[in-house]
Amino acid sequence: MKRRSIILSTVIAFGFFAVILRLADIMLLNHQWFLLKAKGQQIKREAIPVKRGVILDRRGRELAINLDTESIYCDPSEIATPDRVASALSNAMNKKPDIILAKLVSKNRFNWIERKVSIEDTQKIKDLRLKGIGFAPDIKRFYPKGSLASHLIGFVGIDNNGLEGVERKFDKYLSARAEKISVLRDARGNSLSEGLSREIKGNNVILTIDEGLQYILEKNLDDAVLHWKAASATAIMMDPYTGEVLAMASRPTFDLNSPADVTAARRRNRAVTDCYEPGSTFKIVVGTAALEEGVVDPDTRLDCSAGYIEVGGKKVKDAHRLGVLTFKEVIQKSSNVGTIKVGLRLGKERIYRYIKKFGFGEKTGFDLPGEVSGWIRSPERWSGTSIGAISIGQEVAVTPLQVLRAYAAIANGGFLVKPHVVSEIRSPAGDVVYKAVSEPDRIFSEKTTNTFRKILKTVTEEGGTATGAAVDGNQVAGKTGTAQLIDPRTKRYSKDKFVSSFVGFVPADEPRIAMIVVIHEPKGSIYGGVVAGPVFKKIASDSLSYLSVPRDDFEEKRLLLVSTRDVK
Amino acid sequence: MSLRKRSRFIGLLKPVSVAVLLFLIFAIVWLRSSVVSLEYSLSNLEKKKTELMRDKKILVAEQANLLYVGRLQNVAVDGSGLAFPDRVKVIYVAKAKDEEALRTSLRTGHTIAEGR
Repeated sequence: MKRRSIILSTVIAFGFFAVILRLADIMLLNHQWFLLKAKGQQIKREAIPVKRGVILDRRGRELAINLDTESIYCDPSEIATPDRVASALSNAMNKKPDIILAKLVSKNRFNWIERKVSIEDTQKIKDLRLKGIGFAPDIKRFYPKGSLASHLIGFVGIDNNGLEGVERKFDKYLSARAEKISVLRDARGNSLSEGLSREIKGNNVILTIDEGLQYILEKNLDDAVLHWKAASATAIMMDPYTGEVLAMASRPTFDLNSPADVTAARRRNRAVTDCYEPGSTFKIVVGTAALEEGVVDPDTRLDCSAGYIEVGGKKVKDAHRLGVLTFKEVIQKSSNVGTIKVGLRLGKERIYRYIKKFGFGEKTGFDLPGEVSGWIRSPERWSGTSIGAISIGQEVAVTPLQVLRAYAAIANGGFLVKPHVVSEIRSPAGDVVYKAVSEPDRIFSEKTTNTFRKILKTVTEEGGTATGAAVDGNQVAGKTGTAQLIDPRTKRYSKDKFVSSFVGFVPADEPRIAMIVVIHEPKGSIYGGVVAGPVFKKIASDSLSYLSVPRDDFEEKRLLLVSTRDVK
Repeated sequence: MSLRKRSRFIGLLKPVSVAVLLFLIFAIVWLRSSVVSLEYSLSNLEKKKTELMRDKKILVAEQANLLYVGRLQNVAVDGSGLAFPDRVKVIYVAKAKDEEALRTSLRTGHTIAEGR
């Protein structure tokens, strides 16, 4: 009995001793190793989803937002029956089984099957409980307005990096750096929260564009392209005092939610990336220069009765014989002969100086990627015909934005503004990170701009080239442009391919908007006043209504009601 | 204190100390388990929050899509027979004095501005 008791005690003592030894091993000898192992099992590093900042219009309406999605991946080494899994996924995802199967049998341990799948669709796949198929949270950029302002907003790639437009130019503000946090979890993999916020957001970008004005501009541009069967078109609306772009569109266009479905040509923002010969809209250079230099005044008479003028051995004609015209009429009727005569009086050095004053041949500094500077040769490289050609907007290449900026300078009293589309960038907490500052440079005297503004008003009046651009109730100041395109085959001016444009501002005396409409290769008519003028009129009219801008004559026509105590 | 009383006190102190010690151990275990259970609750709430935030984002996207000016115009023009205001017929209303309430008359030009 005693012997048994001794044996039992010894076994128990050994048992305790073994336990103590093991505990000493765990807690003293191999403490660090076990600690690391425990942490590895209990603590999981989780990536915090990074959300790009949103893009809003000037009134806070969402133009680009984020949606939570999930991306589906696979680990081929864990998939026993790839055919069956591929078939199940194919049914759930509406995707060809061959494409999925190729990923399931790949040698890599990690393969994306589909990125950015909606939560509802991933739930269907989760319900299948397929081994070797995993899900990772992902963020999808969503553009609720579809193709509206597509060239301007731009789009992102599969990893939410900005590829075009504002998304690209302001990528460093919109995106945020990804971070990982440590999360405690139990044996079943359930996480234990510490109550920390798990969201990283980028800064929000507020644009200068107005969704309403953008819609008006795009709708009318679409109608014009359809009506004139044009190859392409561009329109820009700007606040002439600040340079804020209120609306900007190019045609053809694309849906921001599926940019990969179209060619790169459709995605090009032609308002800043494409140059064209401006034609008569460029007469602003010679016109303002002549007034500023005192070479002419509005009533200076110029003989245009011949209907043509020879410069450097080349004949330049007017569309019609116009007789003797005042300088005012030269601009109003867009006489090439009269303008060249004024240009010859100015001389090439002065013309070039004023071209540079308007900022032609240089980038405007517009805050979107891809802006080109245009093209203008220095006077020493001008040929004998250049002074005539450049005076009427040939032998130069400009962007629609440059032309609009030049006319905005007349609208605002002689200041060259810097066009921009981003007004403010705010942190997720609401602090201002960036604010656009307008620092206009005076390039003309107020006298010159006032005189030229009066002349531009006559363009849309009876006898002008753009009566079709006149807006009911408000005076429009502007200029038409009709330019021949170069035929790429013959390298000469094409006889049937033209660029028709109209640029101006309204109301003429207290401008609220400056706008340019450029229609490339219209069919049926070619003149700026006929093709682009009416588009300007329609956009301006709807925009002024949208902005609640009263008619110029609202007081004369007794359209103003004022509350007074006498009203009965 | 008499020796008898003292030995009784010491005799009582032992079980009380053991009881307190046991109570403290259990209190710590209970506290720890409560914290863990709270962390589970928090985790569940966070999951719910994430789901609700996700739903909110979808709703914001739907709202932005529904309030798109183009869609509104289509609904207004095609659905409700409304039209964009005719600028010729628009009458502007202004206050004569800032502190005054707006009063209008349907007779155009009933009163003319003293100042805008």
